[in-house]
Amino acid sequence: MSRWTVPLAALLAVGGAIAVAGDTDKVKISIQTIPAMTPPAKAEVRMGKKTLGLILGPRKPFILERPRDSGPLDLVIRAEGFLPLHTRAYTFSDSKLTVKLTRIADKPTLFGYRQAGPPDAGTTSSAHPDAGAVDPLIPR
Amino acid sequence: MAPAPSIPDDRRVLVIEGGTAEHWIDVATAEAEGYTVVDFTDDWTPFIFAEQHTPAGELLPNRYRRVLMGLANDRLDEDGAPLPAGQKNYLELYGIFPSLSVLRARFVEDGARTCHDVAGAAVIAAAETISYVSPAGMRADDARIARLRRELEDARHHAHAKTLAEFVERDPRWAPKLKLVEKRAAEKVAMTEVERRLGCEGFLHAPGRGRAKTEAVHQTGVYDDPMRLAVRQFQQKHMIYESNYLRRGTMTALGRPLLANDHASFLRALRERVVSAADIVEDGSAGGNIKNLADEYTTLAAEQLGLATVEGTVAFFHRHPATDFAHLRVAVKLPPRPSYHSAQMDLSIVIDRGDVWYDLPFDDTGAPRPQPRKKYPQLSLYMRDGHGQQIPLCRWRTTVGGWRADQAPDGYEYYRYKGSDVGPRVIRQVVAGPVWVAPESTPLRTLVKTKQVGTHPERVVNYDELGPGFMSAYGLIAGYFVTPGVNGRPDFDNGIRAHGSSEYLSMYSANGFSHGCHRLPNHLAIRLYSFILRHRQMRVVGDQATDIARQFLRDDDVFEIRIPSRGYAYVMDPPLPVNVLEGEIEGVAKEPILGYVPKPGVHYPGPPPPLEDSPEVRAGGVPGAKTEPEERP
Repeated sequence: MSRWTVPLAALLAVGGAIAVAGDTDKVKISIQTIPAMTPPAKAEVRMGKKTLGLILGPRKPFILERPRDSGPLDLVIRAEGFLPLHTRAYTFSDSKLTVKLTRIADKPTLFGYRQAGPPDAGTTSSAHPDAGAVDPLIPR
Repeated sequence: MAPAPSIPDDRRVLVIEGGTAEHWIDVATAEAEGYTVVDFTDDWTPFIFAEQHTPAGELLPNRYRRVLMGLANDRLDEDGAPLPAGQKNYLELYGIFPSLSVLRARFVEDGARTCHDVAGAAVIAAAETISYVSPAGMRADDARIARLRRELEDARHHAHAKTLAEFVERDPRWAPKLKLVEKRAAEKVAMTEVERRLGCEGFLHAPGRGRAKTEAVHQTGVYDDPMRLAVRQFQQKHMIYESNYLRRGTMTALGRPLLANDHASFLRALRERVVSAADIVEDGSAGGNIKNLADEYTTLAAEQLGLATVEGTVAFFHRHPATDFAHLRVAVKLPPRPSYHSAQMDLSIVIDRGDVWYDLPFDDTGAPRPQPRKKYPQLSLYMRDGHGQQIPLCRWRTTVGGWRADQAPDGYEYYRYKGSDVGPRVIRQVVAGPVWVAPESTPLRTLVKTKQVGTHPERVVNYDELGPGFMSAYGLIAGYFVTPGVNGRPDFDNGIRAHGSSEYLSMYSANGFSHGCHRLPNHLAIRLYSFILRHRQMRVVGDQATDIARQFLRDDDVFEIRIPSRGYAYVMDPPLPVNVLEGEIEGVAKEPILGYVPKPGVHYPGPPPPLEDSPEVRAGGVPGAKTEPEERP
């Protein structure tokens, strides 16, 4: 399996189904870590500067309640000895957000890790930026 | 005007006679009498985002529809979260037109403003454009112009001419220098007027007024970042296809009265609703005998409704408060649709790639090698008539692939030629609000952005690029090109799509290339697929729920992409034929170069890794260069 792909079997109900008439106005999002991944004792769930709550252990998820269809939530999950994880929860319906945290020592196992190379390697932009029309035709 | 009490809101439509005399009729009566009903409600969306049902009548909800309506109504941001107070969405260039309530508010607000005056407009018109001089280069440029002026004055003095004009008439060799000096003088005055106008309209804040603490302060007379952002916002409000400089289209709009600009916005919004109501795609772009129905019908509708003038539109909005746009539909008499229109049309798409270069875009020293094109790629929608003749209904500029930055498995970026396939294909699936699942080859720097989360700037996954949304790499709608499978085998998907795009200048740029896909401005892609789907046998599949989750490392943080849906699918049966013409191959190389090519000047730890192969890796739409235009005007 590619390092890019998280073990999907463990990641339940990313966004859930879409709400239909008759559903309640609020959704519950259960946020937990994957037990098989030697989870930390506790993990903090933050949104921006605000701490929303704590995941206290494998079977002690943090439950977040939000108005239905109120837009996605950009969350950061932090735990001591692990790399911070930036993830997203959706508010379409009740859902479970199960995340895999990575120990700092396991950083090389992640997609995007690269051995230090010579300075400025691979950081230049594309040969052909897509912009700057000199004399655009105006479409209608 | 009081509504007719006998007709419920959802059944009545407004007829306007003589431009002002309004009365309500039942929608069924209107249709029976040959009226076309144009939806003026705030929850209008184009067909592809309209509420669809199964044959049994069950609703097939579209999760992006709510966001789209929120964006058009200045209620939500691109994520579907509430828009901060006072903020506006100017998204016409991205294919989302303001609702009638939003337009009404603009008319009311701008009608009370005094930002336009004839003298200021004359100053702007006299300059025509304002040359870009970078903030760092201003002093040197001023010195150069002053030097030129002194040279001119000295030469005039020696020639015993009374004025510079007289001197240049005698000695035309000096004309270019005088022209430059005069142009810059006119530009200085015009710049002051542009600053005043942008400030008055609320795009450019005076120091300490109405701006966030973190916002940079504009320096008077300097084309700095605050100025560039103000110009960009103005262009986006008025759907001006120019890079963020003071070019002709932008200057013309800056010289126009505010309500005239608002009326132009209103007519553009009206056009989309009329095109949708009349179910047409013909916009004059195909030439030949195919008429510009989009303009013709919009003009007719505006005239019948008394909305062809600023005054008429102001009066209309005076008669109709914002609450009316919860239910308002209007009826207009339009000419019969062309005889070739039917529920089942023999439609097809042809893409001509134009001039194509396969050579490397740089020479042995790493210097850029020009690859000029005389003929640019075009996408045409054809209709076969009863005599078997192929007739183009519309023809628009599009993009083809070229050399792009690609992230290799070794973590480094290389160049890779991402071409556009040639030959017959079909579109079986059209997806509204498509989601682009970024392949591993996507440069990771493009997958992270900084976003304000609460009051805190936070690095997040760049979902703008993934979608669904107007900024998505696939735009607001995409048709998926496939080679039909034979003998029971599945279709072959080489990752090429014809899709809407937020990179609205790339279709019209000499240097605009995609990653293999064929881009269209979002509003044209919406018109195209709305028309095709309504004139072909198709099935609404609906939301394509998925549970994709991917992690990647950026610096010392892990980012997780979570995708709950691939978009909202429509399937055509039979599929729509597509043919991609090879075009004219320029240069030495007659075949695309495969594999990773090291970037000049970059040091790599070893040879490039072999190329991986999957539809997603091949798929176009990688947003490698979504940067502000850097080209000097």
